[in-house]
Amino acid sequence: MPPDTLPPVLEARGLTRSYGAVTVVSDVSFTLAPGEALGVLGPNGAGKTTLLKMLSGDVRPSAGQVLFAGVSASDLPQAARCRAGLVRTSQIPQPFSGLTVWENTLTAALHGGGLHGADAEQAAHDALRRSGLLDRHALPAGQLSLMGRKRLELSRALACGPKVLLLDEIAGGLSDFEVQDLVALIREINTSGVAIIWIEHIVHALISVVSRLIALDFGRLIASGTPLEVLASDNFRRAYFGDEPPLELMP
Amino acid sequence: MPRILILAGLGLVLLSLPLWGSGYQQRSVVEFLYFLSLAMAWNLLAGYAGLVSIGQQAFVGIGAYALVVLAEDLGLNPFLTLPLAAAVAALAALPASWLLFRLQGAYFAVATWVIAEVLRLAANASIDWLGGGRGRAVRSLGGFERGLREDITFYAALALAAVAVAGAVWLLRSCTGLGLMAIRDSEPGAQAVGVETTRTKRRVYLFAAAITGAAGALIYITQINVRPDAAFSVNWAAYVIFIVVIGGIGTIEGPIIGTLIFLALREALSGLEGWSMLIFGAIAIAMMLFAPRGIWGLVTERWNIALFPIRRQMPARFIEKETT
Ligand SMILES: Nc1ncnc2c1ncn2[C@@H]1O[C@H](COP(=O)(O)OP(=O)(O)OP(=O)(O)O)[C@@H](O)[C@H]1O
Ligand SMILES: [Mg+2]
Repeated sequence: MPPDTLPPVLEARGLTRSYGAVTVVSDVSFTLAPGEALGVLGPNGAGKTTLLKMLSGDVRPSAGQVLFAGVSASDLPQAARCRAGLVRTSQIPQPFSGLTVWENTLTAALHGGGLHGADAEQAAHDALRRSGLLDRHALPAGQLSLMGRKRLELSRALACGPKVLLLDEIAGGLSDFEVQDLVALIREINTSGVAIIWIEHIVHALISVVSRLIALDFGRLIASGTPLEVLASDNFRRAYFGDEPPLELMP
Repeated sequence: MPRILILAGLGLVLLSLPLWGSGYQQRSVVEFLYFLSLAMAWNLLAGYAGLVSIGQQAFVGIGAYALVVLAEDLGLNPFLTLPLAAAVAALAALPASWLLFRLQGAYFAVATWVIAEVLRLAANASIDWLGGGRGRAVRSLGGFERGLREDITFYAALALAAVAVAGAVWLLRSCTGLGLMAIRDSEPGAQAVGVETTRTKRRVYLFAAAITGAAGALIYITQINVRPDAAFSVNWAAYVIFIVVIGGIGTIEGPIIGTLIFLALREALSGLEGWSMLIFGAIAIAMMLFAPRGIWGLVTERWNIALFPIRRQMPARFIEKETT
């Protein structure tokens, strides 16, 4: 079956989040097919991270719900969603800096992966190898470079055994070469069958992996469709460029 | 394995001490062992779970009063009350954790202290049952011949410290231990990799309360008289914080070294009365400023040693695969 006829692995239904009087995500709905890669675009403060955090369970929606594999995940805390295969990486990497790279990844395999003993070690090893950190397994995570920390976020997420991976600006702040490496890695993860939702400001990196885009502005879903459709849409152009016509939009 | 030999030798020396040591030496070692147990418990909280409590005296007092009630009112052998005091303290820690775990950082710390103060005042007020401000004595200890009493106390203290150290090592080497250290370094990160942060912290909090409660009962087996202002004194927290900070927070070896230094210093400063607390405080602050990882931290900076290895390394089978 082509992906769009499979039942969605993840679905957002009318997700809304307010802080006091301010609504930062407003009535956002979309679906994600198994194995699909979906990109999220939007200006700073559009509510992208908040949306992702509602999916992963660290922010409670003010309204709406999240369905994971067809069932409501609303009552599942973040750790339980992680164990079920809905895993998020952080916009600001959160290494366990007193632990080694190996211990960081093993913690994810034991807890998020729900594995024990040799199985957990195997999963941690595979995750480190895939994310290119195997040679740094004994390094304290606090000594990793920014790129190393981004890799560690991915390595830990992989060790949890994700079905859906939520990536929050994982390529932000990196050099072009590093972004290329990361894009290859994310593409490999996606082709191995993991569905991905990826927030990224680096449009050319994003659309080299994802097959579909959604765009947010002021917490609202303003466009959705193939990358070309979204990037060319009036709503999207207005959100980024105001009413002036862009000089050069296409990458 | 020299590490096993060192530990076995140490164990033999301690086990045989009542045979060759003086009464004074024996009592000093008991004191070392209960301070070590208290320090190990606090170190698990502050050094591994990021739960900085300044109210662990609540559980010293609960253990002490569990001893009084169980031995005097219910007629149990005072030494058999030790595991029960641990259970009572853990039971009391459960509702306390429901309250405390809603708080973070300094609020958590202050709330632990408030709880201990409330218990101290409550014990002061209960004249009929717990003896009010004058407290109560564990009279049934008088039924033991002195030498026998001191020997049993010694082995009970040894057992308690062994459980505290072995329990801490076992906990830290387990899946829970990695989860704990992850929480300490980044709580959002720990949650993101599936660590059940509240459950993990609660497990440690209850374990620390149990050890502290048993230590409380043991301390008052050696002192016989239980007074609320002494049993619930904030000094217990202050001493233990000093010990862990000096020795090296977040290590197993640190509290051992810290307890030795604390007892030696206390002996040296015993003539100074109130001034000694000031000196302890000054040393602790200097340590935090200039050697925040304590004496054991200084040692491990120079030599790569660990008496109790709790860290995980990638298994060798994976490394060999890489090179071939
Ligand atoms: N806990 C909070 N309390 C109050 N306001 C918040 C909170 N978290 C986020 N916000 C606000 O919600 C809005 C959306 O934040 P969010 O982090 O989701 O944006 P974003 O699209 O991820 O932005 P960026 O591209 O800069 O990462 C921002 O205006 C932010 O200030
Ligand atoms: Mg963001």
